[in-house]
Amino acid sequence: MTHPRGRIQAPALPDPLPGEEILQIEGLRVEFRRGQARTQALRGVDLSLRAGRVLGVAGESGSGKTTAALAAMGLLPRGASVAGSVRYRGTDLLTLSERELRTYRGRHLAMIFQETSSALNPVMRIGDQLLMAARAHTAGSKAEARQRVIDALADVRLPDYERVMASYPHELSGGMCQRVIIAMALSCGSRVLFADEPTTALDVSVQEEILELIRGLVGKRQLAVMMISHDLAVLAEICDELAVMYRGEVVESGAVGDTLAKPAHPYTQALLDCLPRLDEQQDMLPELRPAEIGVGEAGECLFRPRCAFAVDKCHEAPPFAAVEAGRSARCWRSAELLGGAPGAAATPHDQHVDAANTLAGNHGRGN
Amino acid sequence: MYKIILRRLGTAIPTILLSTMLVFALRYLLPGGPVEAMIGGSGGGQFTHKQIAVLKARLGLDKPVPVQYWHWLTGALHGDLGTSYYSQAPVTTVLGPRIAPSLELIIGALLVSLVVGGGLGMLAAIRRAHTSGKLIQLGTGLGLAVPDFWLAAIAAGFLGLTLGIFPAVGFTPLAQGLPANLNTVILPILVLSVVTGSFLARHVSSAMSAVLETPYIRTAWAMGLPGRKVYLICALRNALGPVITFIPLAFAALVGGTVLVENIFAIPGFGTAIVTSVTNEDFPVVQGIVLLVGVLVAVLNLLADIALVIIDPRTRRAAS
Repeated sequence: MTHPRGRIQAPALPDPLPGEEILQIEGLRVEFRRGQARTQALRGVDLSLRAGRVLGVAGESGSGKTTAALAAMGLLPRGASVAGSVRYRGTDLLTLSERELRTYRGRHLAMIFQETSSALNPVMRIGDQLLMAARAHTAGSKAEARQRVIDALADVRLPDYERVMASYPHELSGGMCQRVIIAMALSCGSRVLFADEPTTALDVSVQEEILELIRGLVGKRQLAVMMISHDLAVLAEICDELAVMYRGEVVESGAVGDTLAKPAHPYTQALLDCLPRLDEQQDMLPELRPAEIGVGEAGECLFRPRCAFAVDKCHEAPPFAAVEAGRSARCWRSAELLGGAPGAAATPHDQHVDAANTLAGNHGRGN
Repeated sequence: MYKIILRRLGTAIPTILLSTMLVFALRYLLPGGPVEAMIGGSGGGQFTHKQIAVLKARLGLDKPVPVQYWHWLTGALHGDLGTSYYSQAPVTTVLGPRIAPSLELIIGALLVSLVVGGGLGMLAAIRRAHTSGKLIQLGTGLGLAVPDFWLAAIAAGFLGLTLGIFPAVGFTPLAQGLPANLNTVILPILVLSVVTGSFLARHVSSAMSAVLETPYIRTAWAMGLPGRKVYLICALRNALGPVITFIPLAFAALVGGTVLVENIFAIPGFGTAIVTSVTNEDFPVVQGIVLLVGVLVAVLNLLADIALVIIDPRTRRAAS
């Protein structure tokens, strides 16, 4: 620890314009090494966050959605090698030293997690934690920091700030703790918020409140939010855009409504098919072919072994290509899935459900 | 808070009583018994049965054991710990001057262990993925493995006799000036600190490593807090609990350590007293030392419990 004591600070930047692209992740690759073993966690991911917009990132466990956010924050564990670029308003965060990056965390980018009460320090009062974070980034007075904290608490709808600040985390509910953590990011001045399954640990009614709150803050504070979730229903509700990830790649991206209404990638379709519907009587949900079936080899489509639509051509990796205005997908048969191309057999949806049903019959209810 | 103190006292007092009862009972388990020990050798050789009976009556040993214990206990509550069989002086007079040297060694070793051992443990946790952290772990592992009697002998021999940096044996009381006193206690304190400090370093390092993996520390990083705040404010307070619980245990272990170290370095503390009084079967003195150590450990436990309540608000609520 031979750091000089002088404090460095991230630049103070003007408020972003609504819709301004403030974070661009390009060609992000992450590889974890443990001894001799190497795991490709991200294989070249492109994502972009805009002020006042919410980008949803969907995908199953291991698809790399959390890794992408952690890599952008510089919070990956040791032993991860990162390549590509993460540009925040002109600065490539991946080129910064840990010490410089630390000044961007909180001040410009923050991340919240699934844990609620346990994500706050159990032995410190909420107020002390909030003030410590708020004062870590600016040289201002304590009173000024306190005012920012109070404003932030009001913004997360905890107006009873005196009681909240005097409390310990165990005295608050999970939903309140998540609000406090969001307030912490706001009082530090964060523009970009990575929200990793922030509502998964909460019960449904509280989940709804938090989503609504985040949506409100996005408009009010022009936050750029990356909402990570495996829950398409949550994403459908809160996002503007959606990126679906599979095995460290973005397989489909586009406006959330279009993407969920008419997926251009079989994986997105399969995720949708696994959701229970209220409007149909279903004895058994179709299930996705289990991941154990395997992953595509190098040079072929990674989803091919599990894909109900795979054809010979899929032994060659498809490019991530535009399929419609503002939409891209990584599949040779996107056009057919969208129903645009001639010769698409029946409707791909039904075909897939059939395939999935057959699988469900063969394998039983896997999990 | 008061409830906790009362509850702790409620367990500490029976513990102390029980330990003195055990020691009291011990003298009757040994062959011979106190009087035979006093007059030397089994059977008492040249003493007649009548003489022995007189002696027993004078010491109150002719009464049933529970009555004897009661006498001892009521005496102890009035500050009278009995009379040494060996020197015929009151136990308090025998032990009084021996308390300060021993406490100095123990408190000194605790302080060194806390500062050096605790600091190394924190560093080991912070640098756990790096070579420096692993080296510290290796060092503290070595410190645990080294037998203290060997270390004491080496320290006295090498640093004391060969190099002559410190006096190999002997003790200068604090009353004769701090430098002179420190000169004689540094070696024994260092020897005592190696094992306790290594233990503490291991303890702190595992507590701290666990804390550093928690979601609230991840939040602290994600909010851009500087390292010193994350480690010294956010993490350390959470890692203190196990350390505080460890202090009374370390104290008790150090009492054992002083027996050895005081004998090697010829320091007139209760560690040397306990060895001579056990060999002399001078039970009132042994009993006095056990009572003293028991009370000290109980007080430390009580303080530790209060400290735990102060640092962790969750126990505060559970207690009230």
